[in-house]
Amino acid sequence: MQTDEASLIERSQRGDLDAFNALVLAYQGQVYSVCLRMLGSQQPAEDATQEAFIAAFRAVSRFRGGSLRAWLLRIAANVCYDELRRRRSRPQVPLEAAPGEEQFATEPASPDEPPEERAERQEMARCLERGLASLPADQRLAVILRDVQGLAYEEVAEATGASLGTVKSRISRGRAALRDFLVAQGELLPSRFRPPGEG
Amino acid sequence: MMFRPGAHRRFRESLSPYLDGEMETAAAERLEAHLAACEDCRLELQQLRATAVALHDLPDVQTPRSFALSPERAAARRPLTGAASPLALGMRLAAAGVAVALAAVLVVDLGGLAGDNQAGTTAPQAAADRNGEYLAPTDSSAAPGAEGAQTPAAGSDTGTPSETSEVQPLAETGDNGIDALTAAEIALGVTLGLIVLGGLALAFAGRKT
Repeated sequence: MQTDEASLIERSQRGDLDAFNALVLAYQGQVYSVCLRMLGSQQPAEDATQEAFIAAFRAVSRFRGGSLRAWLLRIAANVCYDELRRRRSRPQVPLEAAPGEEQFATEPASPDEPPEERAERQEMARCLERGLASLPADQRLAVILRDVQGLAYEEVAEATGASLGTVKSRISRGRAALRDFLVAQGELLPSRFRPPGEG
Repeated sequence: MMFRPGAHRRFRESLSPYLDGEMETAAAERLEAHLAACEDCRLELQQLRATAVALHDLPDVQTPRSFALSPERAAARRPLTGAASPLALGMRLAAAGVAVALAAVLVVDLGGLAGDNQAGTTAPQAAADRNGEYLAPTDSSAAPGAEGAQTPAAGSDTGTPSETSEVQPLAETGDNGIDALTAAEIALGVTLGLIVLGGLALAFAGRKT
């Protein structure tokens, strides 16, 4: 897999578009997922993802090894930050578009899962997406990369261009804020998020 | 059990790195000792763990389409989305104009000072001379041509008293230099003001649209 990726990177660096597109197909899910959660709605996320891959193709000759995933996510994150800055300069566009339920796919129903558990899981997912959208962009990105995408701290640092200490701080603050958000929604959520004594 | 607020806060802030195994052993052991005695921190750790697990369990986002690049897209000079708005472009141009104008003012000012030093006189001296308010300097290092007709020019080449006819051309040169400098600065100041006003006008126009 790594050898395949190294070979595809090398061919991409020589201008082979087919090789680069193989990398696009391998990473587009993660890149789009980060863009969607950073920007909150589908069309801006699609635009940002496409723009990120175009930028990556232009810059791939300067890629000097390390994690390709982190490199691609850093480009995508920069595109998202640009879009968020544009929104701030145009107040008629909502600063943080509240993610609608239709934006985030839900897994198909399992025949073994009781309906009430499925409803609870879906409500939890919706609540988490709203909580993520409420975080400051830096914390949101760090939490998405670490907890949703599963990157190691070092890879998060690479993808955000921040120091390891800054990454630790952003993840810590982001998670704490998200925990507070979930606790505040406690009536709708599983008992593990309810304050003690509320059953 | 009561804890010192500062220490308790530091322990709380280290719960996330602890959860991810991102703490040094000694620090992790200190936190574990605190956790054993602090119910609030134990609850918070449990909730943070549940939050991280819930985030990890979020359903995968389905990509709506392929983002593979067509040859045309790959060859496009600029990305097809995210073009700068006219307002942003106007503000950038205004900012660049202001920067250039400020740099020009600085250069002209420094150039003027350097020129003054080379001439061996200063603008106030020349101006005072012109107005007849000049008093003879006692400083022997004063410029030879600026001392007026009554004072010996200690720094002059000849060591003889300066004649009025020798002083006048230098005074005139100084005046012309000041006028040119002042005019240049005024022109630059006006340009700067126009650029700022233009940027503001663009900003208001952008908000209305």
